[in-house]
Amino acid sequence: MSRASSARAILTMASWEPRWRSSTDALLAENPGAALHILFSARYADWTKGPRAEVLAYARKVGFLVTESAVDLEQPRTSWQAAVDAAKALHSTGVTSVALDGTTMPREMTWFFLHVLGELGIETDYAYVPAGSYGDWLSKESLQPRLVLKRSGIMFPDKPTCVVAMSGFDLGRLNQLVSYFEPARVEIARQVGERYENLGRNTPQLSEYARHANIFDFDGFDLTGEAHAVLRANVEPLVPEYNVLLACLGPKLAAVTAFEIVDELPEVALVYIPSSSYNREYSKGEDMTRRIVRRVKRREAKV
Amino acid sequence: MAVSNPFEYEAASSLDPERISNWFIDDHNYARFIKSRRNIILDGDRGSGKSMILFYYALENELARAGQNSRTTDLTNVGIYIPSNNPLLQRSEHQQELEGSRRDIISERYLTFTILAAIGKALKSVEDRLNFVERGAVLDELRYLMPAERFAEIDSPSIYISRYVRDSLRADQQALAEGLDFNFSFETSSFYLHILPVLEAIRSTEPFSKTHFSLLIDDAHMLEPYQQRIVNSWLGYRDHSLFSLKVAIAGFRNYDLRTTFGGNILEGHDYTAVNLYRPFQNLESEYGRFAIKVVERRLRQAGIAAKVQDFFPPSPKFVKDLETAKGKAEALALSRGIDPSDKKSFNDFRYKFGRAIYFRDRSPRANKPQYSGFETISHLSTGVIRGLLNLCYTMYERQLSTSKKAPTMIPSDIQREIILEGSDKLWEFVRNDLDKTIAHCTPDDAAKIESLFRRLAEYFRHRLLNHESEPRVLVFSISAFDRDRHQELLRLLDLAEEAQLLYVRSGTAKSGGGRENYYVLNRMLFPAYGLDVQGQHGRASLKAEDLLAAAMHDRPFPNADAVDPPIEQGELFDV
Repeated sequence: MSRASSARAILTMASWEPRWRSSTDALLAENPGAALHILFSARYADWTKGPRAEVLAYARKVGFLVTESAVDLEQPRTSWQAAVDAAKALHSTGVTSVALDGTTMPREMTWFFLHVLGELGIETDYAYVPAGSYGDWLSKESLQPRLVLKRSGIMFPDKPTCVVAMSGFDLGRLNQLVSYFEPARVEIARQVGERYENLGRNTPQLSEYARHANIFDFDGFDLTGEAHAVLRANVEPLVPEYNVLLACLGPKLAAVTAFEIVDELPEVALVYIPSSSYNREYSKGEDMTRRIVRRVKRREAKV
Repeated sequence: MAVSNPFEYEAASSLDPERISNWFIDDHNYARFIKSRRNIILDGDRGSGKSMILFYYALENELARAGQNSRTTDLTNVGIYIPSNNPLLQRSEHQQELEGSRRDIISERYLTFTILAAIGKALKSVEDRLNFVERGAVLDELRYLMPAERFAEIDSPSIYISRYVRDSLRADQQALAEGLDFNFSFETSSFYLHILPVLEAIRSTEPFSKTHFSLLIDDAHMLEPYQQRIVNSWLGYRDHSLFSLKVAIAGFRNYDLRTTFGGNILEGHDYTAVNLYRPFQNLESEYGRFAIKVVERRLRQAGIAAKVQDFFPPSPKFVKDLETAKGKAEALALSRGIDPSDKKSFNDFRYKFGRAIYFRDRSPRANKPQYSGFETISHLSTGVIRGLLNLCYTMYERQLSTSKKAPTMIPSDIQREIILEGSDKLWEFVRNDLDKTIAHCTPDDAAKIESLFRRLAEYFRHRLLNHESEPRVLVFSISAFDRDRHQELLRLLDLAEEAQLLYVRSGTAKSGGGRENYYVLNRMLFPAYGLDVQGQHGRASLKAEDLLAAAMHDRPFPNADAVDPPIEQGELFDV
């Protein structure tokens, strides 16, 4: 890769969802001259072919240096390597800060990038654009839960397990997590607020857990630092006694908060439930009024 | 004061020794196996009580039960409980990147340290029996096996083990988390390098001089494949004077019995298989008696003196209607020329048709039957004790919230309500959540499983209402099966089994002798279809092609009225 004209780059994951295009356009407008790297799922390459071609054509036309790479999202090792390769390539051209577009990037891939960019000492802003409206489901055919590479915490065999789950609408995922790890303790960070009919869809389902779990309120969309403080206050006291597994089943933005917590508390593991089937009709439009760009707390540079 | 639900249930490893002691039903058959020096593989469904059995015989719980006498507790057989669902064993960096021996070294190291930690924990509870010299001798050996100068001041063998394990694992995992590559290497830790010598060192002391160690490995199916092979290799270790393994798994069918040396372990040769699949055809059956004991124990602990069957009484109307139906069955038997003095034939007919007539006589527009009574609840649990406790728990909660005081019995209408809600909920799960909950189940698979189960429910309902000789058969075996052509069917049945919608058992084959698999549907599926939850002896023989057509094309089963070939001999587990 030739040297970028600025120390800034945009990393994004191509999608068939309209909001991907909107999110990318906004990032391109905000980061003139930045390098743009587009990852796309090899499995769903056909679905993203059209939108990618449009973005590539536009970005090149307005003078961006654009690169692309395919990634096999089903295999954590290959998606990990894709993150390493992309980030190292940018780093080698002098990039020192990245706008990481999490809009349509799976959480595990986002975590990989946050780890790798942190290790390379690259400052990271996380960007996210919600859809205008959502369908019933995004992904199905969930696979077994897995600990996230490089973020699997420090687990001891003589400690019981505690699952801390930031809940979403999909109780099946939470059930799967609990059924798989059979934790001695379950903590649920319940999303507050009425966004996306949250109170009607999420809260009643969680009542099933009332007898087993400690449920605390949490705002995954928060940008003030309050959510971070709430999560840390609930997670940190668990660390001495439990192997703590942190799962993000709710808003994507909360995945960044989860990563920051794990960065601060390296004993805690991130858990991910992969899927291998996606809904092409999951979202409609975009809600740019709720677009978010936030700085990710930086790790110490290691390289 | 808050009323606590006597049917609370949790994973055994989350229970304190007092609850384990209070709730566990001591079956001396299990004690005989667990306390033996043989290698045992304990086979049972999830929720069938495997963990409870292993945990009950773990040293910490034996000592807790002994209470003030713990100092004199017999140490001739020391159970060391080793869970396999610890997240340490779920780490995957080494599997992602490394190949061959380096990956295997890390795999074995995690497993070895998991067992060492369990040994340390067990030793801690009896360490005070070692005198100063004995402690020193064990520590000398530990320092030789696991040198760590920073622990030079530690004078407790159990603390030494615990600190060594934690320190090593912390360093390993910190190294794993750093950087961008996976080019790590760990020291070798193995059964022969660490576990065996540590057990020998402990046994070299006087208090443990006659000790046999039982390594109680729970949920071994959760181990990664290489770790399963390591355990199998240990099962192949013939000298049982020092230790033996008691390994709990959820089903042999999907458990790899290969060793790390490329061989296989053999039942009878390397291990004895003990299965927890108890026959549950009625309350006098092994499971029925066990279920009564479990629930009775919980009631007594809660200060409730009522008999189990009185605490969960059947609906009086149901009992009355059933008696009427049985009378009709007797009349029908007479009309068919069955001689009442031939008691076996007469009672057999009454047994098969009494309940069937109850269901047949119900108006199609009538509400669902009055599902109630402890026997019904027991059948609904399909032989899985966690399912039984779940129903009891939910009924107790509903009655408590209705009456606002601690229940002294659960009225039959509350029982029925909970049963029907539970059945609807399970179908809801089948319809909407299978692919979200069961790994490797696609939306398409979920739709096929839903079709298959709906068609099966319709098939059994048709049998119940129409079949001339075996109306209440509720299990099926597969006939005309071709492994190549029907692979898809097996895959769907495996997914359904994983979701606990189905249980696979092995029984005497219907023809040609030998054994065959047969399939038991989760009985909680039945009330939503107005089916009888109590089956009769016998199996429906369904063609693989028809099962596949039901799944793939939503096609109803043909020939629901056909007579099944007889089972060659009575099968204990048939229900």
